[in-house]
This record gives sequence, C-alpha cells and structure tokens, in this order.
Amino acid sequence: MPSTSSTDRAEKRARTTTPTRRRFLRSSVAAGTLAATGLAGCTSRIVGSDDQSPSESDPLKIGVYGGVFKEVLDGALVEPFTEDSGIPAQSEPQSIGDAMVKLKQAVDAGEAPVDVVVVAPDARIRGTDMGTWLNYSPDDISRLDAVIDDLVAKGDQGDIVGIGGFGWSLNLTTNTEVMDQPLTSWKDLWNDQYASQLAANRLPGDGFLLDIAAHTFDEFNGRDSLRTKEDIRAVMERVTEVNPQIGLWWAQEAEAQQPLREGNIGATQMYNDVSLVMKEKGAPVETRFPEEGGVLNFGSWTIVRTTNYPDAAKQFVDYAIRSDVQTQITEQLYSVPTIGESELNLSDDLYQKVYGPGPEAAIRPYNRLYLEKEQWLSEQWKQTVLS
Amino acid sequence: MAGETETETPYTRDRSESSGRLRGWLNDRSESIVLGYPLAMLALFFAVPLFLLIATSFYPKPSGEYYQVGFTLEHYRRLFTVPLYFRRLGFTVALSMATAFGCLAIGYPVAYTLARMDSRLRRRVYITTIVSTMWLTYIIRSYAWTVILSKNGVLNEFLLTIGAIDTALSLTPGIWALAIGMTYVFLPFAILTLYSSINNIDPELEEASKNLGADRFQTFRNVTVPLSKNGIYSAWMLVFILALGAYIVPRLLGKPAQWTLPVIIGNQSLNNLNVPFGAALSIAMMVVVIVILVAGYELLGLGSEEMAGAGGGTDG
Repeated sequence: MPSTSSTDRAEKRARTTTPTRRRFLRSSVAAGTLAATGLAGCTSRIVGSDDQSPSESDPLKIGVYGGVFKEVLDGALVEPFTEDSGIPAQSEPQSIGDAMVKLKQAVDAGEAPVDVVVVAPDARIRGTDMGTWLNYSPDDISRLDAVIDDLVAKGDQGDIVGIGGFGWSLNLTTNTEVMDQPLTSWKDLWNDQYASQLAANRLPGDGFLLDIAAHTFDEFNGRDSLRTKEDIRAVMERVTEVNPQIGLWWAQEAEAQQPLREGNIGATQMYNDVSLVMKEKGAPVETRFPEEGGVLNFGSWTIVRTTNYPDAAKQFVDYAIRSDVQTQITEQLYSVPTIGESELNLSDDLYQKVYGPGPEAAIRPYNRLYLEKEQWLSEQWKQTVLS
Repeated sequence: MAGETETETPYTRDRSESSGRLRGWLNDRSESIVLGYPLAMLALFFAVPLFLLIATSFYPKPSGEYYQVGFTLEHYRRLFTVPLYFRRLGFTVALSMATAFGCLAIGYPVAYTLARMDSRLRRRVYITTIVSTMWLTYIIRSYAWTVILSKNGVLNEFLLTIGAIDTALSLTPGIWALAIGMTYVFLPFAILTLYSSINNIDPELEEASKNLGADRFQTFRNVTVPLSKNGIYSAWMLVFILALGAYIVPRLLGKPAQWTLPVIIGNQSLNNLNVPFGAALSIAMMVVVIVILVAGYELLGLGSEEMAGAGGGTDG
C-alpha cells in the first residue's frame, strides 16, 4: 500500500500527463499565440527595448507545457535557476495547435513572447529553416561537453541552434487485464490475431511507423530505406498492413490513455514516461521497450531570435543541462536525460525504467524526412495508411 | 425670472444656423448613413477577410518552410488533381446532408409538439432543456458519446444485459458514432428553427382543414408541412452549413477515413503549416455551400412571395 506521500506524488505525476503534453512538445513553440492574438502588449516585448537584463516585472520567459508538468519544471529548473543566478525567470504554459504559425508571426513582427522554449525535433528543424531561433557560439555553454553529442543541434556555421533538454521513448504499452501477454515487438502491430485491438499514433511524424517498419523488417534497411519516394512507398505499403489491427488512431496520447485504461483497446504505441505514470496511478498497464528498440526522441531548448535577453537565455540553457537538474527532472517525470550516464546520479532501477536496453538500442527517427516531404507524405499517408 | 429676456446674439444665431445645417445635411444623407453602417461592417468583417483568404490561397509554400507572399496555382492544382481532397469534400457534403435530414426527421415532430403544447410553462421547460444542451462545448458532448458508445460503455452494457448481443460492439470511433454525434450536436438548431416556423402557422387553418373533412395526417401533409416549408428549408440549411464546418465531432468520433474537410484544413494549417492550401480548401468548401444554397432556393422556390403564405399563416 503506497504511503500518503507516494500517493500524492503519483497523483501529481499522473496529472502531468495532460492531454496535450506530447503534442505540445511536438510543436511547443506556441509562444506567439498571445502576441499574435492581440494580447501581445501583455506578454511580449518589442525588440529594441533598452532593458538588457530580465527584471522582476519583465522576467526571462521560458516556454513550457502546462499542467503539473509546468509545476515540476518550475520546482526543478526555473526557480532554482533564479535562486542560483539571480535572474528572474518565469515559465509560460504554452498552447498547442497553431504553435509554429503564431510564433513565426510573432518573431517576424519583432516580438519575443517567450525567450527560451522547449521544442521537439521537427519543430526545432522547422524553426531553424524559418529563422525563428537564435544561433549562438558553443563557447557560450560551459557544460556543452556533458551533452550527448547528437543532441546539440548546430547550424551551418557550427553555431548552436538547440540543446537537448529531455527525451522520451515511444514504446508498446499493454493493458494486462485485456491481453494475456504484454506486446514485446513492433511486429505485433502487424499480427492479425490482434484485429481492431490495438492503437497507434496517426501522425506519420509522431508515430514514426515508417521508421519502425524500416527498422523492423528485414526487407528494409533502416533509414536508408526512407531516402526516396519509391522506397518510402514500399515501406508505406508495409505499414498499411497494420490497419486491420488498429481500432483507434490517436494524435494526442490522452486520446489513447482512457481507452487503454478501460480496456477498449488492448495495447498501443505509447510514451514510456506516460505509461509509467499510468501504472503508478494504478492502471493495469505494462510498458515494454520493443525488441527492435523504442523510438527515442528529444526535446531541445531553443532561444527565440527576437529575445531581448540572449545572455540570460544562454545561462538558462546552460543551467538546464546541469547534472543535478537533469537527475531531478528524470526522477520526477521519467524523461530521458540528455547528458551522459556518467554525469548522472540515477539509480539502476530508474535508469532501467527510462532507458530500457539503452539509447544505443533505440530507433532514432529520421525527423527531417517528415519535413522535407511533408506534403507528399501527408497525402500518401491519408490515402493509403489511414484510408 | 421677471424682466429677463432672451436676446439673440450673432453668436447664438450662428450656432443655431450651424446646427440647422448639420441637421439638414444628416437628413439629406440619412439613407446613406443607415445603409453605410452595415455595409461598412460587412466590408470590414466579411469582404476584407474573404479577400485575404482568397489572396492567401495563391501564396506559395515551400516544403518545410512557412508560406511566402507571391502567386502560385499549385494549391488549386493539388485540389483538383489529388483525389483525396475531392473524396473528402464529397464525404463531408454527404455527411452534412445526412445530418441535416436526420435532424429534420427527429426535430420536426419535437418542434410540432412544442408548438402545439397548451401549457406555456411546460413548453418553456422543454425549450430550456433543449437549449441547455448547447451550453456544453462540442468537445464535452462528443467525448460523452465516446464513453456511451465504447466497448465498456452504457449502450454495450445494456445490449449485453438484455441479450441483444453476445460480445460488446466497438462503435467508437466509427461512422455510426459520428452520425449519432453529429445529429445530437446539431439537433437543437433544427428544433428551434422549426419551432419558430410551426408556431407561426395559424392553428385555425388546421382547424378549417379538419372541418372540411381532412383527417389529421391529411391536414399535416397538406396544410402544416407546406406552410412550414421555409422553416424546413431554413432548418435543413442551417444544420447543413453548421455540419459542413464541424471539426471536433468528426475528429473525436470518426476514424481518420471519416474525417471531414475541416479536419483536413486544420491538419494542413496547423500540422503542415500550409495555410495557403488550407485557404484553397476553405474556398472550395465555400463554393459548394453557395451552389447548394442557390440551388435550394431556385429549385424549391423558397423565399418567394407565394411561399410567404398569403392570407394566413406564415412561417416567417
């Protein structure tokens, strides 16, 4: 029987899985929403202001997602940063949906509704292509060496665009009251014995079924099988075979959480951290890193190009990759840390929970594919996989 | 005050002449002013946004980037060459029509009963109850249906209990869940429109029909329905247009293959950042609505003097 404190913690953690959390991460740069909807004067600043340091009345604004997740980041990151550095900082819960559109509009108008924001890879790449982020020197980040190499996104000149803040693994999660055994392989999505019993993310760039198929089946050769349209078509043909098994296509994890908890679906693609929280909350679910590897992705801290406080923003990013901060966030959110294992102070049990067989065994999605061929892919996806 | 007289000074005379001229100017232009205000509002809140929508639909959108100001026919080429969009447009129109007919079929008897109810108190209670369903957002109402229609939901429990089915049905997401959800969400609009129409029909006309030997069904078919024809069309069109724009209900209750065009438009604008193509799709949808609206008026002769119900009950 859990103690009161652990129950409270479970409650708190459960609430962190707000319906829009993962979706927000994918496009969490909704920072411009307020600015572009006429409330800009309340929350945003115009570039060119004389103030060069954040103040109590105009703190460094950190774009994060809402709910208790914001509370956790406030407690583990934002408030300690202010205490240590003396720089007033404030997290801003962000809306979803039209995130990139609104931020783009705000930045083009010279506004900086937030100074730093955490974004998923596709939004980071898109923001880089659109010139939304500030590029800065690697010398500005003192702890850069601690960050896992490929989690530092760099521009053409070798300058930094984003630095990994925390990650997540897309796994297979099973309702153990409905299914005899937890699903353990991505191939189970293709197994017709599970007709209409499974769920999967319907967005090609969120569910990564193309990457999964390309890494799972011998006839394909991982990412190399996703280079040309012809090759992609072949992989997509394979992905269409999951359709009879999928009773629910979801876009935000909350759409699948309730049906999974209630047994309306037997198993689903689901984020490892969300699944662990569900289980902690008492849901009859088991999450498994598939044999072929979970799909591992990372959110990056990016600095908005129009910020008035680039130095304070860099200080914040530097602080966010401190080992104690990374450890604390991992402990509270089950997220995947972005600095090397040797830098962390994680228990073996927690390490196992968040990493499973380790990052080397994970599938790293071909994020750029979903931007470079987005329109074609979107149409093909709807006409074949989702038809 | 005794002895005090008002003296007209050059200053007051000037003011008086000035205000008189202003009144005259206003009187001369009263018609323009009265018409100008709504026209200005229409231009500001309809014509300008529509122009921007049309203009945006021609802006180029490089892959992976944001759209730019320019000119391209690429979005319309895609609209006409990729079958996906026409299929979705066709499905959206068909679903909206079915929803409109469903709402009419359920809504008309309800509206008729309400209109012919003797007790004003009971009628108010019923109307308030119907209106109150609209106080909840579409999301909550749609989500409620996902709970009711789910495998472990109330409907399945009931059907299993009475032995109508052996195994629980998986109704949501699916076409039936979508049809039920759409009808439920838009039914109040149909009922209220029809109620207003039927309520305006003079009951004496129905009484006269019966006095002339018609039974209740004949009276209903030959008197009530024709006199409420405009109301029927208005209710159908209102629900049809609202259903065409439905976004939340199809997303929550339908499978991806049953998503309507607004969901695709949202997907294009928000996920792919392809606002210009979203604008082109919106214009296509708008054209369809206009064509159906005009066809309805022309074919059914609605809105004519004749249909206004000369010499008796009108349905407004």
